[in-house]
Order: sequence, then structure tokens, then C-alpha cells
Amino acid sequence: MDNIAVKAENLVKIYQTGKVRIKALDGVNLVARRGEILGIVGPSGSGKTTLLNIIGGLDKPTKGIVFIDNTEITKLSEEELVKFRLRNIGFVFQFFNLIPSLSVIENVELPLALLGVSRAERRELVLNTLRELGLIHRANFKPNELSGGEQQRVAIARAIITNPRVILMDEPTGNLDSQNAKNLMKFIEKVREKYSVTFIIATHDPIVIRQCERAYILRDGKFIEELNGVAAVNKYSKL
Amino acid sequence: MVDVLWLLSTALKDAFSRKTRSILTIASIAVGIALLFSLISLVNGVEAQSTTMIRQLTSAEIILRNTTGIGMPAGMTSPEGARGFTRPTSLSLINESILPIIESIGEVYSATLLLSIQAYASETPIVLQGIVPGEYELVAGSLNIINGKSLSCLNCPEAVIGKSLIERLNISVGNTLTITVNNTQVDLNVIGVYESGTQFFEMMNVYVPLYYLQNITGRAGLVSEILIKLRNPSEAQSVASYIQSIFPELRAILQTTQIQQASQLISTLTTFFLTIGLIAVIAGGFGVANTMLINVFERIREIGILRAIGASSRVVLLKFLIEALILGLIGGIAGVGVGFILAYILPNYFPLQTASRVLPGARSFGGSMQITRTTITPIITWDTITLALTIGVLVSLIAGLYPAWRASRVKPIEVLRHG
Repeated sequence: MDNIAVKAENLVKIYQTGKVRIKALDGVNLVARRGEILGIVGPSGSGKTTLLNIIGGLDKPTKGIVFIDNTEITKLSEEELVKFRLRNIGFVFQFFNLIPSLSVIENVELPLALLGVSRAERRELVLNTLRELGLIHRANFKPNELSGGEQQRVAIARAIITNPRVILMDEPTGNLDSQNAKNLMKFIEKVREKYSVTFIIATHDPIVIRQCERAYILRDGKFIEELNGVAAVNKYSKL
Repeated sequence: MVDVLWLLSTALKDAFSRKTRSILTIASIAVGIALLFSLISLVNGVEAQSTTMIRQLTSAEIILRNTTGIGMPAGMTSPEGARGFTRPTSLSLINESILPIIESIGEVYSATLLLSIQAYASETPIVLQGIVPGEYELVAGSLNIINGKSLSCLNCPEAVIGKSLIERLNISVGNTLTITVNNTQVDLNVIGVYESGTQFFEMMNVYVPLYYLQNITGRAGLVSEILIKLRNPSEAQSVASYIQSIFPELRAILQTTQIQQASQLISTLTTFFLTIGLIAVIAGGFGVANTMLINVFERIREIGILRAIGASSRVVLLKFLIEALILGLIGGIAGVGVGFILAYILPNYFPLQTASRVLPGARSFGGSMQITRTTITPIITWDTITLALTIGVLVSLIAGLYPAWRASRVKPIEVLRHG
């Protein structure tokens, strides 16, 4: 497991709404290596978000186990998962999920504050990160004063600020134009190189898929194929 | 461990994220606290005034009063004895000839006579207290003379008057005080000024020699009360029973009973006011609960994001409780401020009306039914301030418990899924 950052075995997720039973995931197995950019590729409703939520400990599988860095997170309690997420997992959502009442600095420093890092230390770390992301001039802006690309970069800054093992991204380019999407992927590549962090990205954007070293093709809750990014784009660009 | 300073600063910021709503919530707590604070301060004032009055009563253990026959002096064989009296009160008088009988009781250390008559000094209602100088002080305690001297003669037109009255009438020792009693004007020579610490006493009671008062009012040989001091105060009950067995038409009133009644009344008053104040504060608490719940619902997405990032349920609970605490504390401080002002304004609109007969201000439960208007002076203490702030904070915290608990139970996945 030394080189494996994330391992999921036989994941099943069933949603029960009244008499309707939906199998969102059906026996999914996944391995993500350290420092890898891994794509989860599939159309809307294929189960990508459900898979990311389970890997990130936001949701529990009906069946199956998930390891992150040798910790079986599917065994952890709700509060243990919260602590685990704070230290080990970063999230980037399609709709950015920044807190609108807080400035860029305040949004990015949230995980550090929750970890008990002092204000001075937080500010130094956040300002350095914002500088690297080219967002320093927006440090005191509120999210609604930023462009979509800038908001997504702030969300990434928040995800990487605690130097987590894994960053999970759900349709990160879903609200970005193609130029911003390309810029974002360049940035992800930079972060991966610098911090050796593992990215698992749920997407159906070819710009993103092309950057992935490997991509799992997900359809109706099942992995149907594993390809490298370029091959996945060529074969499933119309997914 | 979360950075506490960050938690406090974000809670403070979020508590005022909706300014108008927060201000209204603070106002709802402030109104309750203001009411509670002012009422407690006023009750403290009443209690202190009463305590002062009661303290001044502690000398004589038994007061003999005739309450059985209107206008009929006890100890007289015929109603003729009362004829021609101008009775200012509904109380009957006592024939002073029974004093030696009282004094002959072994347990009695000393006894003295007192005649209380309603009068006016330049249209200011007063009560003339006819006393036997020397004897009165022995039984009821000395008057605190701050200027001039105390009474010494038994039948001369002299008076010792209260500090408040002398200030009101703008006269001084050596001046003549013209009073109207029984529609007759009488000039008294002011020989001394006393201070009792209670405005009631000082405004109401003018001390004059007993026999002089009896003469000018046609009450020779009659008194309103006989004050009795015992060798052993613990014998008061048995001596009172004995006196009543000899003089069934008299009523022997124990001072301890009066004190107990006054304390009981104050205690009832305190409970009543505290209840009103607490109800108002609790009503304010519902305001806090409402605001906090709306805040939780409005910020549910933000809570979900915080939980997804790694905020424990304890941190979320604490954050919302701190917000409730901030609202309660500010409401409490504002309430104490408003309550301070109310405590001084309210008494002007609700003056205390008291019959002087029941006022200890007569020193002797004197016989006049003079109605007096007076103002309660509130007493504001650090204890009251602390109590009001504590109640404000506690009520807000309790009110914030449920909303905070709701916030802490938010599941990030549900919030984010329904984004």
C-alpha cells in the first residue's frame, strides 16, 4: 500500500426513496497512487459524485470499504471522519462552495483555523498560497466579486492549504470557460508536482480528462474501463 | 483544537450578519432585562427603606392600642369621655390612667404615652407626636438630634421637627412653626431638628410635649398608644397576652409581628416583581431562539461547507452558542442601561401612597390615617447588575441551545447534494 493513496473495494451505494431503489454504485473498485491525477469519467448520473463523496468520507457506502493512506475510513464514526477530512482530504466542488460572507483570505484560512493554527501563521500561509495562485490582489475580495475561474482557484487554495494527501474535485471546470479550464489544469499540475498530492477528479470535460494519467470510465454505477487520459478522451469524448 | 479567537471573531461577525434582525433580537432581551433590573432595584429600595423604618422601631416591644370602640377611650366608664374630641382618625384613644397598672407588671422595664394627631404645617400634612420627654427616649430610643436640642418640658409650645420638613418649610431652629390643628392655628417654637435617614419620618413626624398636645386638642388624659419596653424581649408574647386579659378592649401589638409582616410583604413583592421580570426576559429568549433558528436555516449551506471541510459538530454548536451569548450579553448590557434609567423614572409615575398610621415613621404605629405620597429611591448594586447580565446571557444561551444543536447535526452531504 506504500504507493497507494486511495483504495476502494467493491463499493455499492443504494439510495432508497420510498419504494424506489436506485443503485448509484455497483461494485466499484478503485486505486489511486500517490501524486497521481486520476480521472473518474462518465456522463451525468453515472455515479461520479457519489463515488467522490464516499471516498471523501462525506457519505457512507451501502457496502464496500475505502482506505486512504492505510486508514479504513468506512469504519470511522461521523466525528472521526470530520477530523480525518480536515487533515487529509481537500474538496473542490463544481459550484466552488465558498462562504459568501467571508473574504478570500477568510475562506482559504478556514481549515487552518479549524486545526488551531494561530492567526499570524495562518495569514502567512494563506498569503503565500494566494501569491502562488496569482490571487494576492483579490485577497480581501468577497467571492461574489470574483470571476468563476478566480473562485475555483480560491476553492483550490482552500483545499491545498492544509497540505492534504488527497484532493477530490467534482466537475471543477463545470462553470469555467475553456481558457480558464486549461489554466486550472496547468495549476493542478503545478500543485501536484510541488506537493505530491493525489488528485481524483470527477469530470466529463475533455480538457481535464486529457491531463489525467489514468481515467476510470464510469457508467450506471460501474467502472467499465480504465484508460490513460488521452485514450479516454479519444474514446469517450462524447460521454 | 480550533483557534478560539477565530471562533469568537467569526461568531461576533455572524451574530451581526443581519443587522436589523440582530438589533431587534437584542432589543427583545434588553426590554426584559431592563424591566427585571429596574424592578429588582426598586424592590431593593423599598426593602432598604422598610429596613430602616423597622430598625427604628426595635426599642419598644409592645404597642398598646385601642381598636375596639370608635372614639371611646379605653378605661373610661362612659362615652362622655370622648365627647367633644375632634377625632382625626378612626382609632380610639386610651385613658392614660392605666399606665401605672402597666408599669406595675414585673416584666415591664418601662412604658410611655404617645398621642398622635394629624395637623398641617403651611398646608404640608404632618403628624404631631405628643411624647413625654425622657420617658419616650427610654422606651422608643433617642431622636437623632442634628441641630438644636431635644424636648425637655412637659407642657410648652415647643417642637422638634425632621430635617426634610425643615428644609421643605425653609425655616430653622429658633423660628416659629405655625401649625393648624383642629382648625386652630398654633405657634410652636422649633427647638431642634432630627434626622432619621427616612424621608417619611422626617416629613411626617413633629414631636411636641404630650401634655401640651393634649391641652390644645382637648384630649386631656388621653393617648393614642402606650409603648412598652420589656426587661426581656423574649417575654413579649406572654406579657401581651397578660395585658389583653386585663384590658380586653386594648390590642397589644408585638413589634416582631409587625416586622415579620413587613418582611413577608416585601418578600411577596420581590417574588411578584421577579416573576414579572423573568417572564419578560423569557419572552425575549423566544426572540433569540427565533432569530437563531432563522440564522441556522439561512446559513445551512455555509454550515454544510464548514462540516465538509472539517468543522466538528462541537465547533458548529459552540459557534452558534457564542452567537446567542453575544446577543444575550449585548441585550443584557443594554437592558441594564435602560433599566437604570427606568428605575429612577418609574417611581415618579407610581408614587408610593401610604397611611402614616401603619408607617413605622410614626415610630409607634401612631394613630393618624394621614395619606402620604413618597418616592421610592432605587438601590442599584453590582449584585443586581451581575444578576441581570447573568440572566440575560443564560436565557439567551438556553434559547440558542436548540438552534445550535440543529446546526451541529447538519449533514454536509445532504446540504451539498441539494446545493
